[in-house]
Amino acid sequence: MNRNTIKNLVFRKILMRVLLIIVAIIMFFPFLWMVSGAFKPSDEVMEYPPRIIPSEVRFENFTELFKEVPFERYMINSFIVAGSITLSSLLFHSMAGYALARLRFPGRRFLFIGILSTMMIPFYSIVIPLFIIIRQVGWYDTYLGLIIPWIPHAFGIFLLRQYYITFPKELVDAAVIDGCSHIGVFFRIALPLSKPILAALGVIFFISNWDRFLWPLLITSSAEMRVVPLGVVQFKGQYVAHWNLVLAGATVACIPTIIIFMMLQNFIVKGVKTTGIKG
Amino acid sequence: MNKLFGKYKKQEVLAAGFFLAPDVIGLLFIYVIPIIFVLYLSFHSWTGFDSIKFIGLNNYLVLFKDPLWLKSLRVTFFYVLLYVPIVTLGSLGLAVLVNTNLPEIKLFRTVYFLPIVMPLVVAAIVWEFIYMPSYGFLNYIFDIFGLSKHAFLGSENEALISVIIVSTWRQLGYYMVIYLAGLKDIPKMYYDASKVDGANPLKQFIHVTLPMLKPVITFVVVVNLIFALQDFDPVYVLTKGGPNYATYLQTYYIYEKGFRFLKMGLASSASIILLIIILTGSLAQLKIFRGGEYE
Repeated sequence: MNRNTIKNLVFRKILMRVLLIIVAIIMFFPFLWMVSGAFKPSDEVMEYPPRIIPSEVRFENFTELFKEVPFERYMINSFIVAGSITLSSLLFHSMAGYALARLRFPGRRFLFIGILSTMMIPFYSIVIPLFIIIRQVGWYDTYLGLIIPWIPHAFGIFLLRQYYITFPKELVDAAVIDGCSHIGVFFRIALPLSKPILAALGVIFFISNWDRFLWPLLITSSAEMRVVPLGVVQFKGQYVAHWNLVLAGATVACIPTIIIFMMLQNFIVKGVKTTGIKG
Repeated sequence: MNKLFGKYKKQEVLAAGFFLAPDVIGLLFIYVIPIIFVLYLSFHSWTGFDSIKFIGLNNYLVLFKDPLWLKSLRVTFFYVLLYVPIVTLGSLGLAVLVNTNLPEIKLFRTVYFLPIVMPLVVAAIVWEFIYMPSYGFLNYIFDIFGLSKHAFLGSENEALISVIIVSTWRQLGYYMVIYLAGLKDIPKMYYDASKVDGANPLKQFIHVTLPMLKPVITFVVVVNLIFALQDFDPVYVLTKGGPNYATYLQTYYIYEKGFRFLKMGLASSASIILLIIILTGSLAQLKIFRGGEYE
């Protein structure tokens, strides 16, 4: 290697790091700005030129936030809703996926294609009838109304079917020979062995359902039923001039998903890959 | 009974029925019945409370003559036209950037992925704060570089791109991870072979990376298109469709007509058209990309 190529290589490495850092600042800045604003006194948050570090760290913003609105209730609601959807989805989709991949029954191909074709129906094209149906059933402003519509999901079924197709056949056959029923095989062997993929999918399900906004906006009306994203937006509508409180609310709204992300980062990345590549 | 099942085992068929029942019944009630219902409603006039009146194709005729709907069709078109290439290419760029073996690269990947963890409406709120005309941070940056202050969300020309930036910021890391997995799947020998042939990094990217990534790129484009056609939350938080309908997406039209003005029939016909757009759009793209494979 001559000196020029070495120089070139060093130069490229430096250039790349600079680029990486610039992008990192853009990606991270909104988080920083949100947290910084959440601790500022109310006049400082609208100060110009803006200061990055607050002159004092005001924890009172958070106590005020919880005094103004039942934010803890929103949190509990979001946990109940996103949690129930995630757990039921994982159970039902692995059941359906297993049947489609492993069991022989008449009309299997037809049913599989039928399930896949519901994937092409966008939520916005069914939101009106869905709203009418849920209201008619009496689930308006209830947990059931928030939860049930998001459980059936063709994509989840599809992913788990793909998983069970590659599932080792010997394990299942051995159990069947031992006199285990198909339902027994699934619950005692297949399901426990699919923990890694269920964890990866579960994290993705939970985060995307924590995120829902339009549906809760339509289907709930009382504060007791409000979920976090809706709560934050409505809080912002009421306290337009109090950006420090609004940003405190925004910060609190991020905490659960950030904790999940930090604990389960590898599962999330795996989940994105499974839902992405194999789709 | 035995004849019906023929070559199938009764116990196996019953187990399959048990396994499939919850999801199939769910899909029936959440997707199949509503899609039939929405088609039915699109030929009727209904507020959701009075009696349903059949009016034939009238909703569709009203739609095609409604300047607001035509405007929202244009807005949606521009939204997709900007959003899809920006996210598709931007996330590919990020993936290439972080596809190295620098010791601290994992940290960068994590930071790039982080925005997806912020709920979308929260991201919209934080960006609204950044976009503030008088004291917002972005205007502060503009000020430092001697540029005039901008209204961003308050300006008819800048509102749409400002909304797109929020969605883009949040989604880039997600597709970066997908691309990164695709990049790692490309066998190293292809690069070695092209190096022997004297290809520089740019040529390698064009002749090795891009063709090998084609399935992943197709996936990202189609998913993005479907996602972009259904974007709603940032618009609701940031602009409410304004200013002067500059960010009035199709989804916002459906939302306002259906749930604010209670024109369920009209909103249903708009839903049907959105469905047709999404279906033809994604099928066409699959076809275009697939066509290239036989070159």
